[in-house]
Amino acid sequence: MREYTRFLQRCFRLSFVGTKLYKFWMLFLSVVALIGLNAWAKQAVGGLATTGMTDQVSWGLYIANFTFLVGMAAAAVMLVIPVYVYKNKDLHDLVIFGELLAVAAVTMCLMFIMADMGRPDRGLHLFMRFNWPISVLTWDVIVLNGYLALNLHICGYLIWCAYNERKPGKAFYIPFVFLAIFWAFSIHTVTAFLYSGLGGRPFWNSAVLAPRFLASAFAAGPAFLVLTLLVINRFTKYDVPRAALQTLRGIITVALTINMFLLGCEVFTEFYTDSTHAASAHYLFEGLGGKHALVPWIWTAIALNTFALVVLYSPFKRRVVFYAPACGAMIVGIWIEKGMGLIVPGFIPTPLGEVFEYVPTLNETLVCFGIWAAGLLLFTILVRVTIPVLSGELTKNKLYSTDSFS
Amino acid sequence: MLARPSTRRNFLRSGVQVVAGMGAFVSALKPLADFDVDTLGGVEGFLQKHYKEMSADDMKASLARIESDVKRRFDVDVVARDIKPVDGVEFVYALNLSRCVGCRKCVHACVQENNQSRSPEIQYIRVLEMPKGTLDIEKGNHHYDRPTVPDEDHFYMPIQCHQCDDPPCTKVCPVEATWTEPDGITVVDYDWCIGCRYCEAACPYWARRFNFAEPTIPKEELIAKKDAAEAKGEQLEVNYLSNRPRPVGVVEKCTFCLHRTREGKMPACLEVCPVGARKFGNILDSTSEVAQILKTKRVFVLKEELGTNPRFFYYFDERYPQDSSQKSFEGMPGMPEITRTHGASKGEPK
Amino acid sequence: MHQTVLTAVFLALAGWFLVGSGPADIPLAERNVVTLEMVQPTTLRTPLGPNPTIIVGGVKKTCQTCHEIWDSGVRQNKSLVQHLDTWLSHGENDNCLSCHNREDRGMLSDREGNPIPFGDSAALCSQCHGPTWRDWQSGAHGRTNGYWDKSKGEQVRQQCVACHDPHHPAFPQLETFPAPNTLRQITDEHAGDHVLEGPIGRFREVIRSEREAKAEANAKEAAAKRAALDAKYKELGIERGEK
Repeated sequence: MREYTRFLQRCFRLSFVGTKLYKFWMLFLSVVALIGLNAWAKQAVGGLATTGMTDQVSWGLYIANFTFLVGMAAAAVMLVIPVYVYKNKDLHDLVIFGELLAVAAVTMCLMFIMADMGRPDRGLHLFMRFNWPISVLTWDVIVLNGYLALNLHICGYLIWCAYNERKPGKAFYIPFVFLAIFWAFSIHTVTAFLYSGLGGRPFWNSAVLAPRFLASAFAAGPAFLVLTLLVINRFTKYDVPRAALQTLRGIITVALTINMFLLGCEVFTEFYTDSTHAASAHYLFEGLGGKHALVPWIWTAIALNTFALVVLYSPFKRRVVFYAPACGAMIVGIWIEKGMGLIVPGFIPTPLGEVFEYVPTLNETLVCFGIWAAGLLLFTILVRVTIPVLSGELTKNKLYSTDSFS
Repeated sequence: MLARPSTRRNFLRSGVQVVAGMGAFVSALKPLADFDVDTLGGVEGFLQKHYKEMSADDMKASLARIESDVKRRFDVDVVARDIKPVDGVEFVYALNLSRCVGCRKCVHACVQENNQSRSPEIQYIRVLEMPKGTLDIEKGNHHYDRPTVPDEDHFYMPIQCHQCDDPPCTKVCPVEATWTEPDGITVVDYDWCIGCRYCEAACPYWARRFNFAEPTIPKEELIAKKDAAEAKGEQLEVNYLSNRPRPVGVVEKCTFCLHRTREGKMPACLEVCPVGARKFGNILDSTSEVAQILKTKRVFVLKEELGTNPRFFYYFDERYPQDSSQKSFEGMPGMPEITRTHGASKGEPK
Repeated sequence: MHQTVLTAVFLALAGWFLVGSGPADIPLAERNVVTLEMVQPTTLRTPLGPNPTIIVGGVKKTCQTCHEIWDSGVRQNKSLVQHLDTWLSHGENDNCLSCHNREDRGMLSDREGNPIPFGDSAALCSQCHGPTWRDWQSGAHGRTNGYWDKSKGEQVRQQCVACHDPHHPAFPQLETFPAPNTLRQITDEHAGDHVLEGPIGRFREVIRSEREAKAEANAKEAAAKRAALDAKYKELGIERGEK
């Protein structure tokens, strides 16, 4: 136990250590996170009226980001499956980064939920009258927290073993890895069911929503990991195998293709049928009743995703200067498509046909940036600490000495 | 260990950095200094049990808290009650679409009766102005602002909570803060709701409202209400599950005025309807007005395909359109002249 | 060097939080004031009870006081001196004595001439308005106020004349209460009226033009009537428009 606190202490101190670039990156994230915290404090005082949400559009940026981040968290399995199911060696050492991303993403999800709640002070009520299994939201509470625990356990155990220069005992993590695979699918499926189970919202009430969520998650999540790995490769001594990046590229290509296909299926069904239930789709893609705030967004998303897809199917995919922007474009594209392009239009028009637009306020946007910054801060620290431990530079008996505490 | 020798200066500097960082963290929370702790309801409020788990004593204490809370917020003395459902009663509402003229008096009577927030404005009833020839509510206009109604080319469709038998809103609530009572009314425990607004997303009739800000009711309006009650020899009452002033950050909805209807009265929206388009009663009593309507009239429910089984029915009856020739009487002696006395009048936003 | 930058940035941030950043903006729509008095459950009219009276020159009179002297004709033949505020637009029913008792003006009359007291007008209306009478009896038509549960309090079934003026029974236009103005709603951003498509849309076009033609004809007719009335009033030297 004493050893464990010492381990945590060393990790904590290590997170302050790094190059100038690292420090400015951390400073930048801290500043944004603090501005977000400040904005959240203002929201706590003024109520959710400080956001752009209304009774007409009762979920906004917070839930949009939440949905996207659940996908990012679920994407960790896209590294785990090739390694543990198909015995892919290239990705073996990278699995942990996927899981660290999952930890950070789920943490962000929970922060977004807290920010969205009208009465976060009553969180305890969840433990006192938990409407399980009737409410899908209770399922989401279980799967998200369970997923966080699973990933914390797997990463924590592997890092702890590496720190103690000991070989991880398979029984202590392999079953959890397989459980986590199943669990990752469940978090995103359950999150899709949150929306698709609502008969009063025809835009969401679609069986293809869960598959779409999974496909977009398995594109955006690994794309984010690719960017992370490229950064790690560039700025640390850790050597990311090229084959791993290629494997990930394959996964991303397939997932993005499926995602675009499923989006096409939705678009066809809505517009060819052209029933009154297509009103939200009309609002999203071409505007409705003279309101069209989301039209530029969704077409930007489609352009970005198409650009990514074209790059991924072209010979340029092998060159990082194209590959990396494609990954970035896809992350942004999917963020829009799944967040602003899915959550918000579900509310427009309202079930009574009122076309009422949602425009996020500055304060709400700052809270979102703050949560993202806090999440990236967490992710950076986790990666920062994990690399030297995994590479054997920091162990129980060895001080990581490339830098000083300054 | 990590701090190297000869880095004392460094260490001090690091200390300054850490202190500055902590300082920034603490000052980021500065807005919380304005946080009104009373909205949390104190320790007893925080520990209050779920409505269904409260004993008689718990409820008594809770009602006392409501009374002092209203006194604190609005400086008005009220009596808080918790009126229970009556056995053998299931409420049903029927609305005559042939008669509704769309004056919106019901909307505002409801706000007065149920003490909704005036700013931000919360209303339980939406009246849609529908072009004749369609029942698609997406073709309705929520914001019609004619000086007088009805318009010849439109009919009017008020929509409020349908008190479904199979409500999509209650099943999604993660903490069971909303449920359907034995008399068919779906209620919210404002002290239990966590404000996730999932029920708002689930309701196909857009019947739920959220308190995005601390609800405001001008004190004068509550005093006017109290005076009116006292003139009738009554006290100003508020009810736990219905019209007590709500806290910030929770969801609320129409309760068919359960504080009135459980005592045998008609809901406020019905009482003021100038044309008698609104009908209410006990569906388990075959002699009630609503039972008669269901027996004799052609009724329909909104969005029946969703399987929500509402307790709210719309009906029509035989009706000839107003004879346009009467227009020639406009301006004749005795023809009521309609000038707008309200609607155009706007107060200062609070 | 960069330690100093870090410290400075944090301190600047703290300073901004403490001094520079105000509370978050909460844009609220303007409030529409509707007071309790505006939403009272009053009926549109106050019907006359039995034995109606009228104040003439400060003295309370019954209908018979005058009508014993003046008997009016069978057809609609309104005096230009009395009952100036009464105008009849009751479909084919354009005869005062269809409803008013000729012998006793303090009474109404059924179609056989039998007296019906004021305050019991439903018995009179029901002679022609069968289906409405049926609906009124069952509660589907008309207003019911008070208690739905009659064991707990009084239930008031409003009479026909509480809402309909028997002389021109069509329901009048009512004042519209304010439109919703919910959080962040700006009043000028109204959703417009939908244009209906398909056959119903084309049908609406047809009746729209028909109505416009009719309205024009009506306006002409009304202007002519008014001019004639005005001329007559002028001739008699009477100020018009008083109730």
